Amino acid sequence: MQSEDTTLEARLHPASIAFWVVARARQLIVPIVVGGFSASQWGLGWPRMVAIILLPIVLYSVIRYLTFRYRFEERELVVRKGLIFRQVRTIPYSRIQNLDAVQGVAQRLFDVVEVQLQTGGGTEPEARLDVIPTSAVPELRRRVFVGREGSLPAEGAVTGSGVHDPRETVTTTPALAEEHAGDVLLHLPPRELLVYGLIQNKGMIVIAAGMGLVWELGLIENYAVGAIGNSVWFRELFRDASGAAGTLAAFAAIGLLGAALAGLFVVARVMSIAWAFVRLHDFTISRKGEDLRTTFGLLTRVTATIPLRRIQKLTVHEGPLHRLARRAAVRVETAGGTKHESQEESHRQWLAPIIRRDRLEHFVGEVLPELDFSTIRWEPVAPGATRRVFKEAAVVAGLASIPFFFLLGPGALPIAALLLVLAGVYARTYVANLGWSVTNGSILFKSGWLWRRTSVARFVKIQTVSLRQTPFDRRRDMARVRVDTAGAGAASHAVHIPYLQAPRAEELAHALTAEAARTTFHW
Amino acid sequence: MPSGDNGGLEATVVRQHTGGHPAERIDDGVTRALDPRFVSVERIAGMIGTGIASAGIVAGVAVPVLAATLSPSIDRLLLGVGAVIILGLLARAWIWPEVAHRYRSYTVSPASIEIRKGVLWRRVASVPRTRVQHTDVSQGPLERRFGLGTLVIYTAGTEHSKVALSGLSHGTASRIRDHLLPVEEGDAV
Repeated sequence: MQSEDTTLEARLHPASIAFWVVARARQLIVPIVVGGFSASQWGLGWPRMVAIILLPIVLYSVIRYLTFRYRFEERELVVRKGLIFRQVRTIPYSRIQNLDAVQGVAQRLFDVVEVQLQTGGGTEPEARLDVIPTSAVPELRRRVFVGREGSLPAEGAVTGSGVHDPRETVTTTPALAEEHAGDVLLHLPPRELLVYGLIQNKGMIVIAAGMGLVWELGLIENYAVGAIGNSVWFRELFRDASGAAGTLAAFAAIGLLGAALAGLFVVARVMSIAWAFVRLHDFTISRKGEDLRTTFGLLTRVTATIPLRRIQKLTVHEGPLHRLARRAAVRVETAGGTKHESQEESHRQWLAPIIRRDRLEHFVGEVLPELDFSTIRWEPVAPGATRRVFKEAAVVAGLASIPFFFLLGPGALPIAALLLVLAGVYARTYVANLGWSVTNGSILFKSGWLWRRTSVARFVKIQTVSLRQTPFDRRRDMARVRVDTAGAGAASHAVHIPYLQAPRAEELAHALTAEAARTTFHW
Repeated sequence: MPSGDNGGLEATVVRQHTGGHPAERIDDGVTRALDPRFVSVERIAGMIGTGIASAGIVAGVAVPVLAATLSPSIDRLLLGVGAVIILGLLARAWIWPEVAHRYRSYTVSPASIEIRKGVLWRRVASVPRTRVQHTDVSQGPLERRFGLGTLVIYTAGTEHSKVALSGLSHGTASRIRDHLLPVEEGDAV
C-alpha cells in the first residue's frame, strides 16, 4: 500500500458533488419522471418520489467526493478511491498519452474543470479528475509532463486526447488559455469556421439531435404516418414521371419535392455553420516544446494536449468541397482510448479541422518534423489495377441496375449505361489517386475517389506489416500490403496498399518490417 | 510444397520443423513448416466438428423420412443429399488440413518473425521483435496430447494486436517465445 502521507494528497473540488448528482440524475431522467408521475397517481406526492430516487445518488456522490484523493509522486500519479472496495491506481507519467481538460458552461461558473488522463490501450480514460479547480490544471500539466520527460528517452510521450466527450462543450478560461504561449500553428478565425461549416455537413448532427428530441416528445407519429403515405405517393409519382407521359402534376410534385430537399439542404448547412461557430469557436493549436495543445469551444471549452511523439499516424482529408475551397483537414491518431473514437466528432484528434491548402505542408512539417517533403516520390500501383477496379465496379453497376429493369423494363438501359460509365470514371480516378511512398522515416499512403485521404505512418509507429493475396490478386500476380499501427479507429484511413505487383509488395513488406525492427517502439 | 502458381506468396520451406534441440538456434531466418502432428490434430478436430454437424443432418433427414409424410421420391432425395453433405464434410475434414499444412510456415530471424498461411487467401504477417508486447504459449487438450502448442504474439497494433501461430511443437513454441521476449528494458508504452 501507498504511504498515507495525506499532506501531499489533493481532493477534488467540492462542486464535484453537484456535478455528479446532475450527471447521474440526467441518466436517470426517465425513471425519475416516470416514477414521479406514477407516484402522483398513487397519491405519494411526486416530490417525495423524486427525493427517494435522488437520495442514493446524492449519498453516492458525497461518498465519492470524500474518498477520492490524488497525489503526485516523482514518476507517477496516484489516485485513491472507494469506501468499501478501495482502489489505488498508479499511473506512471511516462505512460500518459493524453491530458484533456474539458469545461462546460456550468463548470465555468464554478471555475472548475474536468481532467481526463489516458494511457495506451483501454477504452476508458485511466483517470478522470472531475472536477478540480481550473487553477490546478497548469500544476497538473507541469507535474505530468515534467515527470514524463524525466523518465522517457527521446522517443516520445503523448498527450493526445482520446475519448470524445459528447456531453459538454468547452470554454476557455484564462488559466487554460494562457497555455498557448508556444508557437501558434493554426488559429481558426470566423471566416474559416464559416468555410468549415459549409464543407462539413455537421448540420445533420443538429437535425438528428432535433429529430431525436421530437421523437422523444411523441411528435413523430404524425410525420411517420405522413412519410408512409408519401412513399406510396412517391412510387406512383416515379412511375408517372418515368413513363413516356409525365403529367404536369407529376412535374409540379417533383418541383415541390426538389424545393423541399433544397430547403432542407440550406437549413442543414446553416445549422452546420452554427454548429461550427459554437463547437470550434476560437480553435487554436500551438506547439509548445514537444507537445501540441489545442483549445476550442464557445460553450464547452476543451483543452487537449498531444505530445508529438505519441502521434501514431497522421491523415490529411480532402473531400470534393475541400478541393473546391482549396482547404484540407488534418487529424492524428494516438493510442489513448481509441474505441470511443469512431465518431467523426472526436475533435481533439482533428489537429486542423480546416486549413488552407497552401499552408498544409508547413503545418504537417511542424507536427512531423522529421518528414522531409522533398523525398516524397509517389509510387503508383500496378498497371493492371484500373482494369481490375473497373471490373469490380462494373459488377456492382450491373447489380445496381437490376431493380431498374424490373421497374422500367427496357427503359432502364440508359440508366445501366450511365452506371457503367460511372464505374469507368470511378476506376480511373480511384486508381489515379492511389499511391504510396517510402521516405527515410515514414510510409505514406494516399487513396480515395472523391474523398481523398493521405496518411503518414512513421516507421517507429509501425506495429506489424502484413502481405495479403486474394485469388484474384494471384491471377494477376498482385498482392497488397497492410501496415498496422496503434490507435487506429474503425473509420480510420488504414495504410492498406492494394494492387501492388507481388514482388514489389514483398519487397516493400520486408523493407518496412526491417525498418520497424530497427527502432524501439514507445507509445 | 506449393508450386505451379504464378508467383504467389508461398515461401519455399527449407526445413521441416526442428526436433527442438535446445542448442539449435531458432532465429536463423530459415523458413520452417509446421509440425506434421498438427495435421492430425486438425483432422481430429475436423472429425469432431463433422460428427456434430452430421448428427444434426441425420436428425433433420430422419424425422421427415420416418414420419413418412412426404412422397418416397422426396425421401430418397433427402437421404441422398444428406449423405452427400456428410461425405463432403468428412472428405474436407480429412483432406483440408493436409492441404493447408503445405501453405503454412514461419520464419524466425533475429529481428522479426514472419508467419505465412492461407491456401486461397494468402496472408503473411511480419512482427518486428521490437514490437512484441507480450506472448502466450497455450495448449488445448488435443494439442497437449500431441505435444503441440500455440504461440500468440501481442502487439500494440489495432488490426493485428494478436498474431497466433498454431501447430508448433510445444518446445519450439516455448523457444520462439523466449527468443521474442525482452529485447531491452525500454519503456514500451
